[in-house]
Amino acid sequence: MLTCREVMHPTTTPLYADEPVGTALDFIMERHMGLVPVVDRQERFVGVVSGERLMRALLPRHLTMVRGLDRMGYLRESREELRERLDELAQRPLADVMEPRAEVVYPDTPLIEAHTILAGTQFVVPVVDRDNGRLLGAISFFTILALLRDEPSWNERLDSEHATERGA
Amino acid sequence: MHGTGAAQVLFGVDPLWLSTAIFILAYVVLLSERIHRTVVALLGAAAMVVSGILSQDQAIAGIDFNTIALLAGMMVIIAITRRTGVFEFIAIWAAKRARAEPIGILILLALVTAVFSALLDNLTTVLLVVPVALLIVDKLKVSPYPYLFSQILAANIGGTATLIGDPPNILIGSATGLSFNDFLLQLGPIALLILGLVLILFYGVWGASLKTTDALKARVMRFDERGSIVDARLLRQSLTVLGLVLGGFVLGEYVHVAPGTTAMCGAALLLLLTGIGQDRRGQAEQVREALREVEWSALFFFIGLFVMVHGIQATGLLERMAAALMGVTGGDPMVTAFTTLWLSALVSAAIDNIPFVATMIPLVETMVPALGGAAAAEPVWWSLALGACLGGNGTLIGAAANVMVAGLSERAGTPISFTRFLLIGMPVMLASVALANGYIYLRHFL
Repeated sequence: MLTCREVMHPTTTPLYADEPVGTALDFIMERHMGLVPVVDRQERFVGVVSGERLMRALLPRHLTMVRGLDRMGYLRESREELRERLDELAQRPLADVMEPRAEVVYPDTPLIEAHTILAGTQFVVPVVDRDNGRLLGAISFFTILALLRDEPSWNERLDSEHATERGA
Repeated sequence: MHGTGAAQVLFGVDPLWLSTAIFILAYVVLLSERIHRTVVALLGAAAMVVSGILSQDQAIAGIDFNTIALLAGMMVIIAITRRTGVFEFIAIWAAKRARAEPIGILILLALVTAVFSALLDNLTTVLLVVPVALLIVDKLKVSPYPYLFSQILAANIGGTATLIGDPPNILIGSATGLSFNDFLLQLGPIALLILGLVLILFYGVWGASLKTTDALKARVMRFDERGSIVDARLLRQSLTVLGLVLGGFVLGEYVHVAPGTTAMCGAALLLLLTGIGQDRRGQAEQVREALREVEWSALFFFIGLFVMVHGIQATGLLERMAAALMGVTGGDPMVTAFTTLWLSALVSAAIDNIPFVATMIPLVETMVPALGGAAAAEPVWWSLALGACLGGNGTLIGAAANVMVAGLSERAGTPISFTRFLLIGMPVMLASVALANGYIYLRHFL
């Protein structure tokens, strides 16, 4: 039986929940990653920050808050107004913006559980230690296909590219 | 024992005491807010039936289905109408009419809220207008609090003006048969006066201090209210039906159609219209969606409450309470009216006014003969309505709309403090009830 341990790409994250969102924005833009795990200072997994969450946080909060407006078709905003909101967003702690109820799996979880999550709600599934809650790795469409096709995963390739760049 | 016949009370306990105990227990739990109010009301109602105080038939007879139909019908109509974006349209339009001037926006949005809440329910109104107000305030970078406070006050004052504006009025209108026009003519003028004075007060207090820049005003003036209208056809249908229903409320008195029937007819008509041109699945989806928006928990709360109150009425508790109250007021209509006004205002400022009014209605009904008949008792009904509706302004928990605005503003990052609201809400409430007192005196007792 394939378990998550065999499929996952071992990973750490540089994103801490108490850091400003701006740090995550830099990291996400640099790495072109759409979903990144977030940990606390004890390296325990606490949530994920995703493109969706960031886009949502960039909307006027009157639209996204519980029982807020359904839509704002009348809003005509300038680039400047959006920039102001982005600057404000960048100052807030990541904990405000991340999804704290992200779905996770454990190393001994059968792969099908992660696969089901990938097919539905979340395109990266963090793998965490069952006992201490530490982030161990992540499973995505790429890690599963890379395993089945005996290829290095997308992350591994990116890492090696980075290593080459730095070497050069 | 199924169905009819005298009820058998459990354990041979005196039904008067048993019903009183159930009622007080339910009230205490309601006030503690530890258990959802609908559950409490339904459990209280169930206890009245299971203990044998009421038979099931009596319990069902105690439910005021006119109120339920009126609430449910309006909920369906409003749920569909709000999807058209017309309420946002009007709010944005009003803000632009004020040339995005902060104090002008405050006044016009308060007027919009007052008019909406006179015609719709207060909760829906603040749910539609307050987020738009907060958005505009955010763009103008001015303090949201004057806007939030004026929205709460305007919602409660506007709701006072009509039969459908506030649940206490719906309950009173349904129980007494006082018509939509009676409410409008009796309560409209005083509500208008109070609203005008409150707006002058806000202008005086905040007119000078709410300032913004031209660049920020331009951001609001750039809003395009037409962008809020999604479905022009649905808009025409909704507004037509809403217009027909309001017309129906006005004319209902003359053709003997109760408001509950009018609202339900309107809801059915609107569901019919929105289904035109759709296949069966589309129609089913339309109906399901509209009915999902009905606040079933509120309707079942009313149902439970009606049964509980009917229980204490059947055992004679209300008669005794009425006799006690008559002892205090000496059976004088004026003293009774003023006592009712202030009592209901103070109670409504502290607790949910719906259970209070639901209890007061049969109580006042019992007093009607001693007061000298229906005509003599009418000022007491208006006092109950004015007290219960205006009393809601006294505290941040005085009315459902207040709690909703507090929740919205907290989630928007600007929580309202209980004391801060109290400092403006309580004086406004006391002054407006005093005005209402004078108004009732002038209209009915001079």
